[in-house]
Amino acid sequence: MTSSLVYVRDGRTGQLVPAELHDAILRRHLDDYLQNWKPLVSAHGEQHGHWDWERKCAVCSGQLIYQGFALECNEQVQGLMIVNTIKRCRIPEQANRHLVYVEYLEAAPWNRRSIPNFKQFKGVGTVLIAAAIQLSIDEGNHGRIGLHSLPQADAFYRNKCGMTDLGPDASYHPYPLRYFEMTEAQARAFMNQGK
Amino acid sequence: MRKRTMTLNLSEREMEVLEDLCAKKGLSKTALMRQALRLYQAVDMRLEQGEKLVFENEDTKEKSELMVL
Repeated sequence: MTSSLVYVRDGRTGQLVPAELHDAILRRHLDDYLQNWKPLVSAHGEQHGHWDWERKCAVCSGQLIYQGFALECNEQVQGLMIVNTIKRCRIPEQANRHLVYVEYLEAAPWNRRSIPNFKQFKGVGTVLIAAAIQLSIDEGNHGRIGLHSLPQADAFYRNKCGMTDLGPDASYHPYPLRYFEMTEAQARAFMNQGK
Repeated sequence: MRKRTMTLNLSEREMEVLEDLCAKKGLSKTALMRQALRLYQAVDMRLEQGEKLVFENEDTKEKSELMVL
């Protein structure tokens, strides 16, 4: 397991704050999630209120196709992500090429607009998407990533991340969530945003 | 993620297939072998759980089981 220095933005002051990106979800991240994060999500009835990171990690652990990421700041987990590394592209120009597929991505509830007193930190989702793109580059997939988005996050992936919206995916269960995919050029543009 | 290095001995035929697949998928040999290992493990885990690996023809919907030993 390794960690790297990244930056998020303080939601009140706008100042950059150093954070640690781990390429694994550790027990302490799950404990933090269970104690501080899950009760808030359940209370606000969000679209992904049924997500249980402890169960997801138990299913994915030991399987090489999955990799977890945790973003930590102020000794508290701020975001979690699990990616799948064997899926393939759907956009015709890159069809059947490998990509990094984001299975699950969630920012801690105190970092989301939908929660009262939101945005302790800004940019958590952006850092995690950048991590997925970097993994895709490291794997030889040139930054290509894909994901199915919950409706609350469609605008983020379409506008902020600049991903191609391939529309609702009827084959996705249990709901036909919209499928988004990022090309090599879109990945380059996204990674250059902060420079 | 920390990496470890190994030497892999392949036959001429295996190397040809590896090189063809690398060219087709735009992957390095290392990346392709890592993908193969992930897939092998994923398939093996599902088979051990009593599941079958089945391919379906998108047009005809005909299904065929892939025998994996």
